[in-house]
Amino acid sequence: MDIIDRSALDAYREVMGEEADSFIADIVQTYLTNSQTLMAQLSRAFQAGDVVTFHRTAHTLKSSSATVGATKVSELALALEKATPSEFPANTENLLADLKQAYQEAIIALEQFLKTI
Amino acid sequence: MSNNPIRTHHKQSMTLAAAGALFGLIFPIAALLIEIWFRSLPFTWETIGQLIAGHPVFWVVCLAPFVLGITGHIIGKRGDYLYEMSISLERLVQERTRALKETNLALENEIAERKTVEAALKESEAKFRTLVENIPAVVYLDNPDEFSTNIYTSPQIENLLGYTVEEWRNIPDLWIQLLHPDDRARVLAENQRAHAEGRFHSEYRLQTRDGRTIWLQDDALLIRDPGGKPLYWQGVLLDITGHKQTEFETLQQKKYFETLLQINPIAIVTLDLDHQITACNPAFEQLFGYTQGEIVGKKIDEIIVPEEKREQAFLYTQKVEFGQVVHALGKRRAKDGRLIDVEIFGAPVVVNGEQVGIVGLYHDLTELIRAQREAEAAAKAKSEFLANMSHEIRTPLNAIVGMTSLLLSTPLNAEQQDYAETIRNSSDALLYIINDILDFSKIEAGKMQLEQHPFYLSDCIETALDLVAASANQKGLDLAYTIQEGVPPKLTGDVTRLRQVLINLLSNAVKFTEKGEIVVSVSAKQVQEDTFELLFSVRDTGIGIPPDRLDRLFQAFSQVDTSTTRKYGGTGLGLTISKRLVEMMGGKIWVESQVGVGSTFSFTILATTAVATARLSGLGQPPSLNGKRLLIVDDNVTNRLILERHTRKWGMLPVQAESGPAALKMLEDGERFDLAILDMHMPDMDGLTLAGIIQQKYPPDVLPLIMLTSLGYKQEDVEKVSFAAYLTKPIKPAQLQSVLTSIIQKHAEPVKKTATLAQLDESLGHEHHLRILLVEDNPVNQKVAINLLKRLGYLADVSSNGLEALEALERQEYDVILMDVQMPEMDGVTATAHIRQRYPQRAPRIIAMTADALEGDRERYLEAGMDDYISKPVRVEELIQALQKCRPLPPA
Repeated sequence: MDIIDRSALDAYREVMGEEADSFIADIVQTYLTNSQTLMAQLSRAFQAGDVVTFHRTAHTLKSSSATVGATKVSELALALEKATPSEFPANTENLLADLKQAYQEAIIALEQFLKTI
Repeated sequence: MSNNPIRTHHKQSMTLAAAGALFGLIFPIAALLIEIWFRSLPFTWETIGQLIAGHPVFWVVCLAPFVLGITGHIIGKRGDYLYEMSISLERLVQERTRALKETNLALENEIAERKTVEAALKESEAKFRTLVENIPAVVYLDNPDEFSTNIYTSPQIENLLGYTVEEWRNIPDLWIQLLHPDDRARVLAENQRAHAEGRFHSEYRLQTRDGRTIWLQDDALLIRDPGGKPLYWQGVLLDITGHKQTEFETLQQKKYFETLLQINPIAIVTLDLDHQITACNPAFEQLFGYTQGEIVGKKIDEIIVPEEKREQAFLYTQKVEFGQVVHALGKRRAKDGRLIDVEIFGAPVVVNGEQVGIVGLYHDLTELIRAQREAEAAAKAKSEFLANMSHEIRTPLNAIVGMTSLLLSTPLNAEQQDYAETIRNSSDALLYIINDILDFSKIEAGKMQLEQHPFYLSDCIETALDLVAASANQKGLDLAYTIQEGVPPKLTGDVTRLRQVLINLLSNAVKFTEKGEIVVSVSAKQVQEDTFELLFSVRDTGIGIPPDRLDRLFQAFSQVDTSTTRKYGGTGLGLTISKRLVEMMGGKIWVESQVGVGSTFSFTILATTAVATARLSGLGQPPSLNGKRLLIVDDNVTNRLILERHTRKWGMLPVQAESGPAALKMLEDGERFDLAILDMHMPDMDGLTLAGIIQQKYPPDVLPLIMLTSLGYKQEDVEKVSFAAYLTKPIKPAQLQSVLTSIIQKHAEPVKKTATLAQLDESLGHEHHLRILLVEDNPVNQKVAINLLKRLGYLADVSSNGLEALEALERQEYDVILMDVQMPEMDGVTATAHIRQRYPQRAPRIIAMTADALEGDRERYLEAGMDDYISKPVRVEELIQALQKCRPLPPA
């Protein structure tokens, strides 16, 4: 599975017409900055055991990542969002590690993608 | 007496005198004549005179008439006297006779009269007798003595008791014997008193000869002479058995009704025509807290109808007065002021066509309403439990499945690999089973609801194929799909459920097929302007199904046979669910199969077309592909056909080769291609070998090669050859087109990607003006939504949580709010509730935006007061559709 699903952003390309490239670049750029914050927030919430923030952050990350086609990140974020309090933090730690890994890959892919636009 | 002989009688004396005189004349005449004749004298008056004068004898003879006349007269006179005498005698006799006759007549009349009187008397008596003996009662006369010995008893006694008059009169004490034991003492006492009072009245039972018991009414009166001396008892026995029976029945009925009224749990009240209470039952007293004594004579409305309901209650009563029955729900007030929910019945009471009163019933609904609320709560709890359970079971299972898949992609030794695969297969199976059971119970409970959203048919089929691709690949099966011409690319319907049916049929096909291919094909038939009947079929080359088992396939919990269950597993619910889903989508499902050859499962659905807006791929004709020559090398004819069909549609010129050598021969023959797609798995010469041979002559930049593999094929294996791209089966047009396009573009001049398909413009926003507030905390999604809206011609304001949204609404009015559900500070559901509360009249239309497109969510959001929902990431088609449903608020 590709770390980035190009069709997600391509979907906007045809909608946005002439402005597509700048729009997509804008979206990806926003994601790159915003998601860093979210990742940091997620780690903090996890360490603090703040389940509410953790879930909400995972939700936001899931949503943003889906928008830019960061499929794997989105899926792992979803798994974290759905993680019930009882399994927090046992399984969550592994998921979080996977997420970080996937996130790094996604960011690299997206940055490369930005250059091609 | 018309011929009176006396009157016709002439005087005899005169007659005889005349006769004597006439007779006396004869003598002189005769003497003359003789003289004349004897002397022969002439016959003249002179002669006659001479003779008379000459003969004195003549003189004497001439005296004869006188003498004879006188004699005659004397005789006649005597006769006359005698006659007179007889006449008077006769007259006397006649008179006497007449007197006698008259007397006789009088006597006769008298006799006749007397006879008439006698007859009348007889008739009268007969009449009275008939009357007495025919009236439906026994009439009797008794002596006024101590024993009341009977004088007369009318014969009806026999009809009544079965005893003859004689028996009745002659058997002593028969009456007392026949008296019902329970009545005997009483009646005898009454009888005793009667002797003193001269009057008797009693009702009692007698036993008849045939053993029946009859009720009699006995009335007797002592008749006295003018001097007061008792003459006789005159009495009448009347059979009142029927009357007693009716009386008993009426009493019985009355008792029934009274009991019914007394023990009835429904409050019952009776009213007169002035609406005044005449009675009520204990339930009424209990329900409303009044005693009957307190309310009798009072107007019902003033007692239990709350002030504000009086008018309505009055109408009810009026309606009943007009003879109608009232049935209504309402509230009535108890004595302690409580309002009670009641079901009200009102009915007129009519006797012989005349209304005499009103009956009112009040059925206490308090318990019922509570029970209903509890039942609703229970049903809701159950469905929530089901939804929760579904969610709670699926969540960890999804994690298990997902994580195991990730685990399998890491380096594992053979044993670990085996364990991990077992975990994944088992959890996959478990997930399917749980999904099946939940779906099945949902369908059975009638809770399954189909959604109506636009979707692309090819997406639906591709995602279904994706799910079975791995297992198909493991078995070396080819998966393919083809959409016939004329099938609308975009439809409105429930894509999830359609996909579910396809997945079910596909996984069955994979399960029961050991080698060969599985092909999905779709065709369509237009049934209405925008409605199509789509025919899907999933054909496999599997084991097939025996004809006698075909009909059992679609029944719940049934598989081809139990051995199948053991060998292949499964709940046996999949096809049942599919059948029900297909039927819900307006179609049917069936199967054709041949053992050892394969099965084709087909189904139809009805779907409406959706307006195709911008489409990523598959529809337009990217100029870059136009006229490009494509070599397709695949041993599978279905795949070749599908590749050819798609690429031809995009303007390419495809050429098929069914094997590596055939492809090489084409190249050797000098055919030139811009691109080649090689299937990896081919007999004799596989794709990799073929690619190596091709690239010896045609480097990748001359003839880019695309490798067609099954999922999970590892790229490391093909390091020595260079592929421009890898395509996984099943072939997806979108993916194929984008791969082909990007390769062609790479090889051509780098083209700046500009507006390719600008189907969207700002016309929507201009034509359909809306003031939009976007409530979204996520900056990425915020940007996407704002830009999409801008593209549609809308300038939206943005709030990043519910609180900000409420503040924004204070400042200005919006027609539409696009509301994210999960937000910090205040979430979308809470914000919606606040908005609904604050602006009950002029609330904007609220469209939820959610990434949780789980089942049931739609209902949950709608329940929370939202009007619509769209899923995230936001798809422009969905956004357009949602916005088109919005209307600007009317000018304030």
